Amino acid sequence: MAGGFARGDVLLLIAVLAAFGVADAGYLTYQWYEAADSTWCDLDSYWSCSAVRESPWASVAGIPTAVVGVAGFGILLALAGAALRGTAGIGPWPTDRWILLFGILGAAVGAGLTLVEVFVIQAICILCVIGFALDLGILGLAAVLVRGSRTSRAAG
Amino acid sequence: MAQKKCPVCGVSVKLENLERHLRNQHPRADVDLETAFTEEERREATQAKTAARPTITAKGKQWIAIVSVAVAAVLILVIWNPFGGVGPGVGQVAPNFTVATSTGATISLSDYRNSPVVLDLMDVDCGACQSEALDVLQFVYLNYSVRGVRFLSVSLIDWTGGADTPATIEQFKADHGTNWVYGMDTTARTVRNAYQVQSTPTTFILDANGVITAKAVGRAPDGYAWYAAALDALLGS
Repeated sequence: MAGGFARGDVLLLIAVLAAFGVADAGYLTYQWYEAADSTWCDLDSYWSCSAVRESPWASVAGIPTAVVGVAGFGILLALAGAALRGTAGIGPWPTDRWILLFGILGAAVGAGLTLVEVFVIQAICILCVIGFALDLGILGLAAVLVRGSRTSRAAG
Repeated sequence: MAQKKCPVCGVSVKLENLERHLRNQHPRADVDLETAFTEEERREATQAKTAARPTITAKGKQWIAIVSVAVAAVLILVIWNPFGGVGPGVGQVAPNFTVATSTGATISLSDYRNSPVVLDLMDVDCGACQSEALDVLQFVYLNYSVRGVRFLSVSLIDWTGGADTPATIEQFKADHGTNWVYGMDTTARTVRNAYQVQSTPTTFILDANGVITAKAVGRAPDGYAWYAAALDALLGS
């Protein structure tokens, strides 16, 4: 594994980042249901969670977009937890590859929503950006994990 | 990988999973776990369990602690928000402004002196502004305009969604029963900047001298009761 870190280190870090992601997306979901009576993540009208939350992009069919984040980070947390408990594979794939898959999906959704914020809503929700950064971190670690598995398989 | 037949159901189970299998699949079976395994099998099962669980190094723990503290610090900083502007508050004179109205006239806040004023900074596309207008503001207007309270809304134009236009504002007024003057913030965002608006709606109650006596960021905390309390205090009833 890269940098002298063990596979367990990487998995634990993924679990920690995913836990922060669940908290972040969970709070955004809570905020969506609570409506606009809290402004703590509004720095100005551009860096504004409220502006993003009040946009049509904040929900699909009445379900807040942040719920997708809670589910995605929750799945990543569960997968990392399973791998830490020694689960080598789920269904046809090794657990590491599932983590990579959900890392890619999360980063793709995060990238799409960030582009919508910048170019369509023209306001940035800092908590959403933090969620996206957590996604990217998990994706990078998942790539390290899968590469490490391949290397050890090739060596073994 | 060593396997052993379950003494209850006869299914082959990995050695390291047999104990869990017995516990989960046959919770009522009278199997003595102490004697179910030989010493060698027990050692093998322990080794297999240890090998399956990835190890966490001391260096890894240190880095994970650093990353956790860093992410937590960022979240706390965002929540605490020491960089956010506050804008004028209770006890301060509301900054004056002059803007065009949705009907093409020009209006200044100073025109509203000598009366209590409800100043509503909003955006037509903001969901909270729509519900505040429909559920609360139109009823406050009905009950307090007859008592001399004046109402002024200012659209922040492009706070969210498409840019508000005179036509969309007039439509908003018709849809939400808010038939008073609506100003439109300038392209230089004069009102938004003067009041350092952080959320829509932001509502101010001003006394006859233009001094802010109450301020609500987002929807008023107690709905109609919030307006009633602030306005009754000004009107002396």
